[in-house]
Amino acid sequence: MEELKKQRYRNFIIVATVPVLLLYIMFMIVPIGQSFYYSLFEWTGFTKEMTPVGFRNYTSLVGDDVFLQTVVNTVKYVFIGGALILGITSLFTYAINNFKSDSLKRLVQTILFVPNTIAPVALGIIWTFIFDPNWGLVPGSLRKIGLDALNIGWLSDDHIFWAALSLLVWIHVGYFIVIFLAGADRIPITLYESAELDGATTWQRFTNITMPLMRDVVEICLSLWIVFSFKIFGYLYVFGAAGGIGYTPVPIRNISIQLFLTGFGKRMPINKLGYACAMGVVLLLSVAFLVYLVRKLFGLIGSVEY
Amino acid sequence: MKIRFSEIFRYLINTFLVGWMGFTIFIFLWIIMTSFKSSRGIYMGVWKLPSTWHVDNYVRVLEGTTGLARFMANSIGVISAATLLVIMLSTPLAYVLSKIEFPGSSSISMFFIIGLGIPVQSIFIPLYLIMNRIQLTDSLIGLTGLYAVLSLPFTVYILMGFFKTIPSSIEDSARIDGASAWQSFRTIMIPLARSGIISVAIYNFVMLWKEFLLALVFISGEAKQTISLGLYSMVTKMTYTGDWGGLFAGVVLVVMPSVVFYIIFARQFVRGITMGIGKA
Repeated sequence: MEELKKQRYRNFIIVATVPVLLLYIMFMIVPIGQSFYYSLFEWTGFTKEMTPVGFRNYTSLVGDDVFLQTVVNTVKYVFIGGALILGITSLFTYAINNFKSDSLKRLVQTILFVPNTIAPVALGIIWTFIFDPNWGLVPGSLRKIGLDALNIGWLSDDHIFWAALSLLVWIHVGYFIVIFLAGADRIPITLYESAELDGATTWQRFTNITMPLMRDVVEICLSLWIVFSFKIFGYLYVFGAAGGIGYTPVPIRNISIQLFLTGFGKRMPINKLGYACAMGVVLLLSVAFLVYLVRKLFGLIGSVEY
Repeated sequence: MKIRFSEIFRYLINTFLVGWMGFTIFIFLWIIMTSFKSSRGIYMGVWKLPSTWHVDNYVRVLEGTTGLARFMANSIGVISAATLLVIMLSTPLAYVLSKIEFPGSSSISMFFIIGLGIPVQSIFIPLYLIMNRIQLTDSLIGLTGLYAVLSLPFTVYILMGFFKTIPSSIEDSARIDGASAWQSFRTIMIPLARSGIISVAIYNFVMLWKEFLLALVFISGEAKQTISLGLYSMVTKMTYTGDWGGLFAGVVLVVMPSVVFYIIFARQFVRGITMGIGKA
């Protein structure tokens, strides 16, 4: 009897685990290996001809100015975007945490998150209208308040990066605020009460209690932002295209966009699949390395028990 | 003096916060307003109220074999099926991994969590070739399968977190009473985990509605486009259609369903994101 029950448990475990595991391996793990394998070939993907080239795709990447520019852009998204997003999110956490009413907190959080529920294609279009030199909201407003000098052509190659970055910041502050507020909610209220008795200001309470106790939250958000910076696709792809150029301008491309254009770009088909796979491998390794680095760094700072 | 500074600072941040939210709401109202303008009206003033309200913008973009109504139906079909599939695959797995101890359970959990960090961008080329071989490219069924499989790591991770919050004692007593794993899963765990399952389903639904890259890579037939892809085709054709009013009607049709859905289920949605953080 006991034996039969164990047997039944085992069957359930196998049925629940094995098929899903196989799907996951076949469609997510195996492709990583294949990506690496294809990256060692020169291959358009549409013929049987695959020329083995060793690591030449990787050495070509190092000499590819456009690719290097997309790496620089990605790094800029990670650092400048990360500083702005986590900075603003921290300030908003401070403000929202001081609200007395829970329903007000929830309302503010709900509104801030809304951009995350909007399709990237739609946001790409909307953002083009905000910065369009002729009829955009930003150039128009600047003109109205007599700051026309600041209309430097926000969609021109020199400045479009900042226009794109502003879109990403607007979206992701709303995302990370949800995680930050959940993290701040865990902190026992008694800590604040005793600090208040000691005469600490709200800002002191925030910097001395809230933020230090949210180290793990900051770590998670930073790791997530690194992954996002490399992955972000639709927002940038459409924001560039909707400006009338038809394809994403180089100054806002991250590695993902460059990879897509190299492998599958429809307007100017390059179809260098081996080369694109090499980019994919670089992308994956960079993300893994940076996330690992964040883990190590935060491990050095240590965690606080409470 | 010090208190003063702190108060001014807080006032400034609150003002900034209000401005930020005001902007978000403004954008929302603006796209709705613009979607009712004629293209000429948009040229005349993008930020002005429409002089006449053109409902025909919507009619124009919705109808036809390559209209947005078709693409919405495609999206809803694909997403519903994919969400259902991923929930059916993930729930038993998450339960087994978080509630039953068996050799290898923790390494399998880790193995799935690693998947959270795999950017689909780094694997879509091999995926395309695999799908091409099994003739599931340019197919809504293929896209459904991909959506389901690629949502697995996140869904399993969140559901595992959720199952862990359910005390084992309830299940243990059922086990002593002789319930099989399947019985206790079906009659005890699923009802208890229902709100978590619903949260993660809602989250997946909205995220897949937004999805663009995989649709762009895997779908090429004009009638098979998803809603995001359909809107993107409108953008690429804009230079010769010049139908800006229609474009904004399209934007609203893409934006509204997911935003309204989100606002109705905001609470479950937030839980979908933060369940992994939980109580540290």
